[in-house]
Parts: sequence; C-alpha cells; structure tokens
Amino acid sequence: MPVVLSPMAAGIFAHESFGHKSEADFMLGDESMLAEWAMGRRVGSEELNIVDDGTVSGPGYNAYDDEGTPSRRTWLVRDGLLAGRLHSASTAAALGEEPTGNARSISFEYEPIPRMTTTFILPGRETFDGLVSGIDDGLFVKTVNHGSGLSTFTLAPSMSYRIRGGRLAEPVGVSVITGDVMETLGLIDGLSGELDLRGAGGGGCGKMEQYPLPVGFGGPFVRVGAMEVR
Amino acid sequence: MPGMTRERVVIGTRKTTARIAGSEVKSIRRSDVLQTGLRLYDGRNIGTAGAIGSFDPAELEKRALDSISCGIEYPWEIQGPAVRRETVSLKGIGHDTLAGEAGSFMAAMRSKWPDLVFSESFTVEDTGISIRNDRGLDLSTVLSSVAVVLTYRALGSTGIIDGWVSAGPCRRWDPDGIRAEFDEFLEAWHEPVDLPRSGRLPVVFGESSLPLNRLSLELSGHRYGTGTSLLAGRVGEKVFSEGFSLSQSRIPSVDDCSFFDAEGVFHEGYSLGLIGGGVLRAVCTDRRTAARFSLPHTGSASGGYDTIPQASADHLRVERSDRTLSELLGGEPAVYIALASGGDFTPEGAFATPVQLAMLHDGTRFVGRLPELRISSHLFRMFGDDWMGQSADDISAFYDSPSMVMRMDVEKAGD
Repeated sequence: MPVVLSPMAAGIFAHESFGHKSEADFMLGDESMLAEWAMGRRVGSEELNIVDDGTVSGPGYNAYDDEGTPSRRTWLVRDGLLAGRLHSASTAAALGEEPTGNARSISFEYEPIPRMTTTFILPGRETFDGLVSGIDDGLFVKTVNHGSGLSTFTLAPSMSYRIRGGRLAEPVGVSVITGDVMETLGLIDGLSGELDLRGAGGGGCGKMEQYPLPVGFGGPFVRVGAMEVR
Repeated sequence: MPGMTRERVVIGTRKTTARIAGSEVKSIRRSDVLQTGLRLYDGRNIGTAGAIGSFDPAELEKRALDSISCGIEYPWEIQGPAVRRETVSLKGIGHDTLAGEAGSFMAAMRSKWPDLVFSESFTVEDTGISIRNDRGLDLSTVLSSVAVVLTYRALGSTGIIDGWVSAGPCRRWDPDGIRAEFDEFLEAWHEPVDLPRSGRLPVVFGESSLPLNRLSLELSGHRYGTGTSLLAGRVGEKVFSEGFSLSQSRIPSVDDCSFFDAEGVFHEGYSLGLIGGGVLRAVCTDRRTAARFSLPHTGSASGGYDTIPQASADHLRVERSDRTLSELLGGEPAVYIALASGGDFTPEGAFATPVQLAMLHDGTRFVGRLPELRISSHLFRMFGDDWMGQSADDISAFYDSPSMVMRMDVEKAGD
C-alpha cells in the first residue's frame, strides 16, 4: 500500500536501507556490487537527492574523520542518479577515487572503516497534507523503533496511522514495513519541503563488531507509492 | 573517611582480533585495557568515579567523593563478606597463535568455498571482572574464550550479507571440528529448497533471539513495577506453557559472564528461576528497583565499571527439556531462523518479522536454504500454546547452543 514516511522514518530508511550499501568496503573486489552501484545509474525520480554530510551539526558531525581527512558533503544520489559512495583512504585508493572523510572507528581499540556521518534525503516541494491527500488507502509511519538494510530492508514502526480518503485516520499497529531497497527508491513519488535531522537512538549505528557510532539522519516527509506492510 | 564505605570494580580485558575481509586476514588488532571504578557509599548516597589504565588513587577518590554531592540516593545495605573466584580457561589457542590459526582456517575456507566472500573476525579474549569492598566482599571471575564470526556474500550477490556462520565463545580450539560444522551449514545453504507448506510450522531459534529479547523486556522489574510490562501484576500466575521455564543464569562457563551482578550479588548455583512450569515467579530487580516497587531482590544489577548499578533483565536462559531437537520435532521439518532482521513486537505483544535467511532442518542436520520468509505470532502464543520446547542437545559441539522450538505462522515473502 502507499506509505508516507515521517522525516524520522525516511532518515532511518536513508541510513539503514540505502546508506550502508553506499559504504565502499562492501564493494571491494566484488564486480556485482560495483555494477549495482554504477555511477550515473538511475535509481529514482529527478527530485530524489540523498547525501552524507559530516559537516552538519549533530551527532554525525566530524571536522575530520579518523584518518585525518576533512569531512564534506558526499552526494550519494543526485537528481535520481547514483552519484557517489563513502570511502576511507584505502577504499578510495582501491577504487581510484577521492577519500570522502568517512573513515571512522568507535574508539581507540578499532581501525577506521567506511561509515556514515549524517545521511539524509533532501527536501522537495510538496506539503505533508499534499502528500497525504493523494492517498485513498495507505499508511503514515510517524515513529520507528529500528530498521535494517539487508537484501530486503525493514522498518519497524512504533506509531502509525491509517490514511483513508486522503486524510489521517485511526492509529494502527504495524510490526514491520519492508521492500527491496532500489525498487523502493524508484517508488518515491513525493517529498515535502521541510528537513528534519536527528540522531540515531540506542547509542548509534553498528557495523560488524563496531557499535555504537554516533550518526545523524533525517529528511522530509516522503511518499512511497507501494510498500509491503505487515 | 569515617562512615564511608569503599567498593572497587575492576575490569581487565585483553583481546586479540584477526579481522577478516575478502576471505583473508587483513589486520591483527591487540588491546589490553584496564578499567577501574571506585564507588563510595555514605549510607545515604553513592558516588562513583572511573579510570582507564594507570591512575592516581587519591585523585580517583576525590572525584568519587565529589560525585556523592550529586545526591544519587543509595541507602541500602551493600553486599557483605564473601570471597570467591571462578576461572574459565581456554585450551588450544592463545593470543600469540591466533593470527596463524586464523590464516590457516581461512585458507581452508577459501579453498572449500571459492564462490563465497567471507568477512568479520576471529577473537581470543581474556576478561577479568572483580568487585571488592570494605565489608569483606572479594569476588572475581576470569573468562577466556575464542570466537569465530564469519559473514559471507556469494560472488554475484548485491546484498551486504547473504549469511553467517559462527562459533563461540568456545573454551577449546578445534579448527577442524568448527570448520566441519561451518561446511555442513554452507553445503545446505547452497541447496535451495522450498517451504514444505505455508501456515503453522515448527520454527527453531538460537538462544539469543528476538522472542527471548522481547521476553526479557517484559521481565524488567522497572516495567513490571510501573505497570508497563505485559506481565504486570501476574507474579504467581501461570502465564506460559507448562513446558516453559526460564532462569537468570550467571554460570561463567556457560553464560560467559561473571557469577555476580554489578552489586556483588550472587546465588548458589549461579542461577535463579524466574518462570517455572509456565508460572511467573519473579521479575528482575536490583536493590533500587526492589525497594521502590516492593519486589523481591533478584540480584539483576548491571552497569559499567564507573556507573551506578541499575536493574536489567540480562543473562536469561530457557531451561532445557529432556528431549533432543529431533524428538521435539517428531519427524516434522522445521524452519531454522539464521538471519531475521527488522521485525518487532507491537506493544500488545503481536510479533512479525521478515526472515532474510532461513534453513530447513530435519532435527539432526540442515537440509537446505529456504526462500525469504515472513514469520508471525504473539508473545503469549510463542511461549504458551505454541511452545514446543528447549532442546536437550546443542546445534554446535563447541559452545552452548540449545534450540528453542515453537510453532509460528510462516509464509514466503511476497505471497
């Protein structure tokens, strides 16, 4: 069914479902992963832009990463096209690209590896009411307990509302919404104009043995044409 | 200082990790970290301070004393005289031999599984945890273990992870035996099989699983006391299946933890029943939670070396039945949950999750890889009418790994 994601839910989607796939160490020595992340590949509408930005104030802020590379904004998706990936110095060298300031470690005990900073979907032009009004029967996901980004991404809502006849209706209990990451990007058909960034709960992001790392995420209200709701 | 009681918590961790990327050992990381926490009690309040590595005892005491002025109440009697030590040792591998062992292990994995790319780590770890105070408490646990965790992706896959195999914490290093278990799993993983049927099927979880994690929340003394637990007000009632019993277990060799909690409390046998024969006996409390809600004190305090102890429902262990996994299944094929991420319980206890990797298991071995699934149920059904039992046997011969079996609604993703 059609789903409107709050900025928090959209941010978790951007981080868990999409952002981890942009970390370049997952692509090293693997032609299939590199082919999936081919620069210039269309993954969404022209309105879709996703960035990772270590210069944004908040828990993902880093003046420099843990190898000394200055932080910056990295466009992951620009105008709907894959545009970049997140690097440490070694992954950048291996792929013949520039470091992006994303080499991070959770403490002195661990080595820096490519990690996100603040990852978010850039706002569009619609309003929240406008996004909802276009849905006859759907779901608004306001808050999310957690999400994941494996072969199938998942978001576990903690507060959701049914959308009926273009308006918010009753609260509804939903265990999980799920879908294919790249397919879902292509189904995003509306972005509101506001941008809300926040920090990850539960201490931060985990990647392999390194948990927790402070990160930020967020976005506007995002309408997705179809998601699987359980 | 007269009237002041001192308590010192020391955690020493020596760890060597071989990090695996691209199916090879890419780096060796060694750490040796000593954490010391000092707690001061004046009979009304508690103050704490901590240090990593070497420190000035006078300065640490001054900081702990300063923190008493924060007014964090702790009027309870602290743990009295007791002296006990427990040591769990590791055989067959050490810090100096880990790199070579990991390299040999991965060479064999590369040779056997050229279509898979392995990542993650081998770790040898020694951890010493002690608590001592002016009242004669002197407890310590030393734990040594080796653990292997290997995630993998198939060449050509666009997923970050297609599956994982692991062993540990192990107390003896048997690379051939561990690799044989990995091989059995991976051979089955290479055999796609269909779900025997949709509907209610036996589902097998390992010990650390979403259902048990959720149950631990409901057993929180704080949640129970504030009325937000699904079990609130039901101590003494039968809440689950007669075949379901659960303990708070702190047996160092089995549970890989100290035998005492963060307040220095321990039980003889290092185990305390919380649910027996489906009847809720107790919920997890530390001194503060027990006093606040007038609940029995279960010795369930957790915390870091420099933090105020607080109650948590950790170290929960389902008691084993007298039946093996094969006997529990009675010839029915089961869905073994290898990787299920992203699902959750609703506040009312309904549960659903996608299963990214499920294996068909016949009770004695992995048969093949099932398609992506969805499973669903409800907390009270999972541990109630649909509970089939905790196996007497282990999935692995190298670490504590009983199987938790329950019927759940199972369907293929996308159906």
